[in-house]
Amino acid sequence: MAASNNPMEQFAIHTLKPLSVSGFDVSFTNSALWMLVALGGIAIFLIIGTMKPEVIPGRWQAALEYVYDFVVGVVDENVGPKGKAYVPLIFSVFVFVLACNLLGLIPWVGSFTPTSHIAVTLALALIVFVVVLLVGLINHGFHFFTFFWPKGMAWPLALFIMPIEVVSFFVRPFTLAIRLFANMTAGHVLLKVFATFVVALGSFDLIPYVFGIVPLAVNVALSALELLIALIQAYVFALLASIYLNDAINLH
Amino acid sequence: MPQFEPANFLPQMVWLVVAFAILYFVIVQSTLPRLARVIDQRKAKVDSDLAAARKAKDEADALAEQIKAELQRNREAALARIGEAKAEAANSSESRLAAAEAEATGKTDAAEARIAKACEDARSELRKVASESAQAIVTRLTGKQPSESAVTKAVDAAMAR
Repeated sequence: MAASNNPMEQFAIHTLKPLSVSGFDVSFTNSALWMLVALGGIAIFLIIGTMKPEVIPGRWQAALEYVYDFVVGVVDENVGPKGKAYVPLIFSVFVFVLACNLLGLIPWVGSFTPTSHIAVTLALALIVFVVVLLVGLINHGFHFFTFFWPKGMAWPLALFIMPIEVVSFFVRPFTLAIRLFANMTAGHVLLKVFATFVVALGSFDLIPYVFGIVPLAVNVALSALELLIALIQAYVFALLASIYLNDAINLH
Repeated sequence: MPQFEPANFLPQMVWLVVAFAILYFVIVQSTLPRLARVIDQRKAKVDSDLAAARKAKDEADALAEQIKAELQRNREAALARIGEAKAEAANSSESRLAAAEAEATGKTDAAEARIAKACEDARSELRKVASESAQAIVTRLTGKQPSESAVTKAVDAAMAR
């Protein structure tokens, strides 16, 4: 199999401009480029949507408000009235993950999905985790750590449960990161595998092209599914981020 | 798998933090509050409009209630007036009827009295005439004038029959 048929090749990181800050490698890569592309897309959407905000919204504003209302709904449902201040954060997380997920679905050889890299998703999850930790500590001080003590439980049992609570708390950024990365990677591998089938079956010498139609149709269907997954994973990421925020704001 | 290449981690994580910081601190903070403000404005407008509509409805309801009460009052007054008028009419017609009846009775009595008097007059006239004629007849037959008292007596006896 040629190198270009390797389904993992789409995840390859190419350094576009080697950079280094005090010995640390911070090269500008295709991953960074696509993050900036996502940023640009979001910026255009947000700037046009809020160019001249009206009580009766125009198309762009209505579209932006739809997304905004969605995020407000998620935060309001999971955190309550105290969560209002964190809407911009959850909104940023949601649109960033969504934009990265969707950009990777452009059927073009140069497209890249930053969220298919665990480094990216882990960094994002760690940002959320650190914010949650800070919000919890600022709001409740060291009282925040009573979060690990299961409430209303007989103490011998609680003693066993507490380590589980601690582990499940500190494992959160990793589950958050792995969920998104795994979903994106799996989807793109699947798309790529079927795409190679299109070429392999379509280049059958006796009856050219005909057999390529089947995997192509599968790929079209898979693309629709991946669109759904891109949306759902962005939603799940934002949802879990707001659930974690809720723990920090409204200590149980 | 390029995802697990340790060399790929740091540049991506750094760039993600940079990109996310730009997104959160620059793009979102400069645009989203404008949207939130206009959404709040809309909510305030809708709420105030709704409140105004509710107030107007309440006012209209109160007015309708007032009109209804007034109508009811007027109807009752009218009914009372009608009853009064009816009673009055009944009263007055009764008294007029009584007066008319009394008048009619008076007239009848007077007429009866006149008739009785006429009858009596006629009788006394008849007696006079009968006495005179009887006197004349007796005088012609006997050539002797009968006494007036005898004639009257005889006439009376004949008339009593």
